[in-house]
Order: sequence, then structure tokens, then C-alpha cells
Amino acid sequence: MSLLDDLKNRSYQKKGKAFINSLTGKNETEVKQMYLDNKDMQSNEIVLSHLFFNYTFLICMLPLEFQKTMINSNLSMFNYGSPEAKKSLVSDWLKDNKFFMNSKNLNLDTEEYESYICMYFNQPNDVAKLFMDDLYKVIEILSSHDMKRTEDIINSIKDELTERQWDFILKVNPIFIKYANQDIQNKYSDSEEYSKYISGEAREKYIKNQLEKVSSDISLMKDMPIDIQKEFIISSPYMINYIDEDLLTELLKYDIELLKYVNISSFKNTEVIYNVLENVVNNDINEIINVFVDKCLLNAKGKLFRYDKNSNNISYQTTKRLVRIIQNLSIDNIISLINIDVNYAVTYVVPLYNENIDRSGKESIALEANSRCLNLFKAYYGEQIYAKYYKIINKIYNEYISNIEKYDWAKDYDSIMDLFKVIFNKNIVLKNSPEKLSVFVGISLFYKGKENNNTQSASIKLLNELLSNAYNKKISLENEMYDIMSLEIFDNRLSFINQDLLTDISKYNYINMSTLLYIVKNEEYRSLFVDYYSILSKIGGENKETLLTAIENFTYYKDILKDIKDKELSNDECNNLIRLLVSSGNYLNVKTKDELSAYDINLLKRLLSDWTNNNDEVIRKNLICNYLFNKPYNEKGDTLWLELSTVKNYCDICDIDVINDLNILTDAELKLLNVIKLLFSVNDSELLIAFLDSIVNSKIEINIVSVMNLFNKLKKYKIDIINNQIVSLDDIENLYESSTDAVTKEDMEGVTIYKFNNQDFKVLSSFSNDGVHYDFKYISEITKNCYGYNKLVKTGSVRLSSFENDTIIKFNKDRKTNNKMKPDFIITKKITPDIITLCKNNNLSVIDIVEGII
Amino acid sequence: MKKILDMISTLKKDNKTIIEYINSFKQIPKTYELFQNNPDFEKLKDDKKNIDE
Repeated sequence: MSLLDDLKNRSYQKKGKAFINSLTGKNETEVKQMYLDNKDMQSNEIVLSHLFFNYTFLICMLPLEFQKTMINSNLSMFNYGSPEAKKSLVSDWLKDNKFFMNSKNLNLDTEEYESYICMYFNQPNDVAKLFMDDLYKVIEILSSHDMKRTEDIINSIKDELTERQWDFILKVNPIFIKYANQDIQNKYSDSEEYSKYISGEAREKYIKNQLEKVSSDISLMKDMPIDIQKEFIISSPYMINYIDEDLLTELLKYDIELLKYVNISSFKNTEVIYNVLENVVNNDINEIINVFVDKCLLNAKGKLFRYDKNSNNISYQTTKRLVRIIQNLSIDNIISLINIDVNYAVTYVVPLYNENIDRSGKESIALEANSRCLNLFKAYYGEQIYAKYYKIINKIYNEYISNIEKYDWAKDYDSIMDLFKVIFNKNIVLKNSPEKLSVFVGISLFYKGKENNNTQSASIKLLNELLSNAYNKKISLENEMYDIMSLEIFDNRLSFINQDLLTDISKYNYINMSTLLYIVKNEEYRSLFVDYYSILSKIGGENKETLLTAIENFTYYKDILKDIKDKELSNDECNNLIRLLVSSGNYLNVKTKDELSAYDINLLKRLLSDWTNNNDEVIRKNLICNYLFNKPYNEKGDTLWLELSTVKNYCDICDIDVINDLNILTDAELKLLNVIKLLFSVNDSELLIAFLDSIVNSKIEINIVSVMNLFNKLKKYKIDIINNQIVSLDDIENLYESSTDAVTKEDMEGVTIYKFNNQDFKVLSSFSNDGVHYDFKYISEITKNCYGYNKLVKTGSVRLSSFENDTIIKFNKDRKTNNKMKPDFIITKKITPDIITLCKNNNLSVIDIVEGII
Repeated sequence: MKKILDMISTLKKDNKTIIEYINSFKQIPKTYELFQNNPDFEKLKDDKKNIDE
């Protein structure tokens, strides 16, 4: 060793010892902060070894390779390791077939144990190294988590397996015999239990029989093998919305491609989607992107804030369960997602704790998040940029910890965790100086919570500068960062979409922005999507629904769009293409121009076959509505994420006289609406099939665009349609003035009470008092106290939705502010002192429906 | 693309399918019997002649 090296070594040891001494007497939070703030100590072996043995709470923050090496020699410390280190270590053990031996010393609970076994999904070749009971156990656990991928593993290693290994695999499930070689299949072919899974005539006969059985009785499905269940859904896709949730979960885990048949909006609040997401977290990145992004199941959110703490709806809520799913991803996988959408980073770096833990517990978890964030940043940008930015990151966390109750990301609308949208935006970081970014973070933190316009405007000005440099164009936002859900809307690759629409859409939290970014960041997809979006926009207008529908469905149409790109299409093919692209999910899986040519005929054939296979009235209504109007009859027939209004919703809200008075439809359209209302007002399959028969016999060329145009008009004017049917207080007052027989009026402590004789009319009322859900029905149908409204205001978003068998209204569902629906009266069956007080305090009248209403 | 976009413009204005749907409804023998007392059906009165025929 040279003298210089010796001196360096002494200095290294001295600094390390000084750092170790400085930790004396410090609490857990302080020790963690000191470690994170002293970058040099993070590579000092003396310090790291000391920390490993003396501060076990810090082990999970130590460098990954150091953790792995030390834990490997000290298995009792395994549980203190970071999830990333533990997974990496187990992965090595699986490679060396040491997991079963080592796991005996780890004291793992069942869930964690199985999660490590599931790592075999990514290391299929290591399964072939297992024997006897270990092999049996692994296959059993893997198949219970994901049957399809277990089959894929067995298929990939089938040539390496010995006869003895096959015995143990087949003991788990005879279905796997289909992957065995001829000798093994011969060995088992005499047994019926196995022969039905061996390809050939016996197999075909078996499948046919099973499909016939399940067609006649859907309840038999749950006892059938998963591959038969899948065959059934492929033969009758619409039935997927009628099976129970457990079965659906298993089917989607088995083959996520079946998702396109599912009415996903019905399941956004249920275990189904969570189970599918949790199942996919440990898969390879292509599968994760397929499920999270391509299939839109877990797009990054623009805001962490919980709009509705009671809701688990994954489309617009950053639930803790979703955060956990994201945080369970490996660093490599989360980086792939951040490359698609920066906002994934925000979810990955937030501290995740239960409300009921004490402050020091929260601080500790926040510091672990701080460490996770630093590791991610280093892996994402490299050591050089990391060295310039790690203190900025620590500053954000220190501020968070200092205000840990107030700044809780789930409750704080403008969470400082939003700053990571800037920190992980490569365009911003690489095209601006660290100093500028540091000032921006500093001002944003300083301004947070203070009503100081100077710092707020300075923060907006700086953000504009950062973004203008990042995206090479002049950006002049008037809003602060917290109001821009995705800073990537300024990406020039999105320039084909109207900027106002993008800005508007970015005010919502639930949109599929990650999927859109994924599409436009791939040159080929972008080019196909531009065509697809322009077709849909031409039909439905350039609006949020069109854009979201295009994003959701693009994955199913990219093959056909690619095949026909730059090809000449005949008129019939053009018509078929339009009809195909406006549908959702590409049920008939049209991928080529030839398939497109026969689309109209195949669609009719499919309708007739589905009709014959089913005799449920509502399913048949859905089949025919989707065929004739490209719209489901009710929500069960809908496959889109976005709750598009159904034919039933429109039948419920549309009064022909009102539509006529509003003059929004042509004479023919009005007549068709009348026909639709009549046709679907009865449950009569005979009538429906006669109608279809009449259409088919007329050999008309179906023009789906003109029919959709009718529904688009109803969508556009739905607020007017509703407002023109409801009765306001002014209407009641006018009625009172013209006929005191029809309505009486009295005063009770200054509150006006109206009572009616033989009068019934429609009112707009609150449905659940949450400011979102409203009802629209006859006053005689109202059974409980509710607020009444003079009109539905036009400034908010309004959607029709279904609850049980009724159509209800969702107003301003995803806005935090701007809710301008204020009640004008109370509808009650019994006037109480509380109601009178409420009315007095809020200047409301009362509609008393105790008597007189018929 | 241009051909498809032009076709959409034409299709939007073309009411043929809508009229065919209405005519198909009127041609079902059961329709009249089922809805004759329904006030909404009365609104299609002008066309009742066709059904009777």
C-alpha cells in the first residue's frame, strides 16, 4: 500500500469512526436522517458494518449488495432487510436450489413464504431443479396463484423433466399431462381422469360435452377446469358479466385477455381487480405493462388525495392497497413504468402507514420511503445526477416529517409528494439546472399552506420556466403544479390532441393518462392511434369520452389499424371498419383486411348464435342493442371503463314530448327514439327477434354512425332533457297562484310548506347526499326525506348511471371544487322540528308529500 | 383515411337506416296488438296506416 493510500485509509477510518460516534444518543429518526444526509458514509464499510449490527432498523436502508452479503451470512437478520434485498437474495437461493433449506431459518409467515415461491414464475428454469415434495409444493402454490403461468412454466421445462418429476407434478393436477411427452401420456392414458386432458379426439369430445353442460346451467361452471371455463367464455363472451366474482378473478388471472369482455366499471370497486393486480406484481415487466397500462387496470394517478375515503374505486382513488401494489414492484419494473408515466414514481415513494400508529412510527416509515426514493432516483438517473439532487429529495421528506399529520398525502389535496412529478420528470431534470429545481422545490415548500400570493406566483413562474425548457416550447400556466395532474401533457407527441381538451382532462384524476403516454411514446402506436382517434372524433366529436374510449380500446384495434394502414379499402370495408372501430373490445378479433371484409356478416352470425344460446330477456336486449345501436341496453352489457349511458338510461330520462319541444332530433330520429322506448318497454324476445328478422329481411346496410348520432345528441342535451321535465319552486308557485285546489301553501316558523292534491310530477332530488348522486323521479315514488333542486346546473359534468334498476345522475363526480348544486327545497313525508330548523338556516322550502299525492 | 372520414360525414347525414328501423318495427304484426293502448305508440299514429296495411 502506498503512503497516499495509507493516508486515505486512515482518513476513511477516522471519518467513519467520527460518524459512528456522532450517532450516540440520537433517536431512530435522527439516526436515519443522519445516514441519508451523509452520502459518503453510505459507502464506508466500517460505518455500514457498525450500522448493520447496532441499528437493525437501519438495515433496510443500507446499500442493496451490502444488505444481501451480510444477511446471507446472518440469516436471523433476514426480516430486517428491505423488500428489494430480500427478493434479490431469495432469487439467488432459488437459482442455487437453497430456498427450502434457508427458509427453515427465516420464520416466514405463509403469505411471505408463498410470495417467494411465486418468484419461480420469473425463474422457470429453476423449477426443473426441484424434486419430490419440494416440486409438488412449488407447483401446488404456483397453480393456486396463477394457473396459466404455471402451465406456461411446465410447458417451457417439459423436456427437462424426468418421469419421477412428472409423477409429482401430475399429483397436483392432472391437467398438466397435456404438456408431458408421449411416454408419460401413454403411462396415464388408461385413466379417464387424465385422458380428457390429452389432446386428440377424447379431448375434443370432453370439451364439447362440458360446453353443452355449462350452456344449459351456468352454475356448473365453477366446478369445471379453468381451461374449459375459458373456452366457454370465448364461445359466449357476454356471459362473463354473469358469473360470480371469485370465478371471474380466477379467469382473469388465467387469461387477462378475457378482460375485454368484462363490464369493467362494475368491478372497479371490488376485489376482482385488486386480485388481478396483486397477482401480476411479480410477473415480468411485459405482463405488468400489459395489465397496468395496456389494459388500463392501474394507471398512475394525477393526485394522491383520496376524494372519497370510503371508496375503493380504483379508477380515481389512490387507495393504500394500490400504493402497496406499486411499492411491491422491483426497482427495474417501476423504472419501466416511470418511463411510461412519471406519475408512477409519486405512488412508489410515498410513506405507507396505518392511521393508528404513533408519530415516531410514522416518521420511521417516512424515512424508509425517503430511502426508497433515493434508491429509485439513483437507479433512474445514475450516480452523477444523484449526487446533485439527493439533498433536494431529503428536504422534501424532512418537510413532510416536520408536518407529518398535516401533510398526510391521503388527506392533503396539495400534497408535497406531488413535487416528485417534477423530480422524476427526466425532461425537466435534464434540461434545467439543479439550482433552479432546488429553488422551485424550496419556494413550493415555503409557499405550501401560506396564503402568500408572491411566493405562489413565483412558484408558478418557475414551473413555467422549468416546463418550457423541458418541452422546448413556451408554456404559460396560470395554475400551480398541484392543479396539473400530469406535467407530461406538454409532451409534443400529444400535439394531435386539442390542448384545451388535454388541459381539461388533466383536471380529472381518473383518466387513463399512463395508457395515452404509453401509446404516444411508441412511434408506431402513435401513428396508428392518430388515425383511430381521428375516426372516433369525427363520429363522436373531440371530447373526453371519445378520447378515453380511444385510449381504452386502442389495444384491441392496433393490429387491424396496422394491417390496413395505407391500403385502399372498398366502401363496404370502410363501413365495416367504422362499425368495428366504434365498438369496444373487438369481440370478433378482426386483425386483417380480409377479416374486415366479412365483419358485417360475421357480426350478424355471431348475434344469431348468441341469441340462440341464450334465453334471458335482458341479455337478449343487450345483444340486440349492441348490434343495432352500438350501445348496451343496461350496464351489464357495457364493456367500457367510462360509464357510458345505456339505452335503458336514455329510455328512462327521455320524454318524447319534451324531446319534441326541445327540437334536438330530426323527425325520423324522434320516431326511432319512440320505437326504441316501446320496443324495450316490454320483456318480449319474440318481438325483438321479429324486429331483427324484419331488419335482416330488408337487407339494409346498417349505418351505425347515424344511430350513434341520435344517442350523441341525447347525450349532449341530457341536462336540458332533464331540466325540462322537472318541476321547480317557481313552477309550484305559479301552479299555486293559478289553482289553489291543486296546491296549498302555508308558513311554519317562516318556512314555506307546499302540499298537493291529486298532483304528481317529476323532481330532481338528492340520491345519497354526497353531492354527487342525484335522482330524477316522480314525487309519488319518493320514499325518504331528500333535498330537491330547481335544476341541474350546466357547469358540472353530468353522467347517467344505474343503481339497481333505476337511472340516477352523477354530477361533478371527480371535482374537488366547483360543485354548484345547492338545494332549493326539502321533500319529506313528515315535517319535524329538525327539518324546519334546517330549512330556516338554509333558506329552503318544504314539499310535504304526506297526503294528497296520487 | 380521407375516404373514411368523408364517408363518416356522409353517414352522419344519411337517415336511411333510421327509417328502415322504424319501418321494420311497423311491419311486425305483434306491434300494433301490443302497444295499441300505449300513449307513446299514439305518437306514431301517422304511421299506423302502414301497419294496418
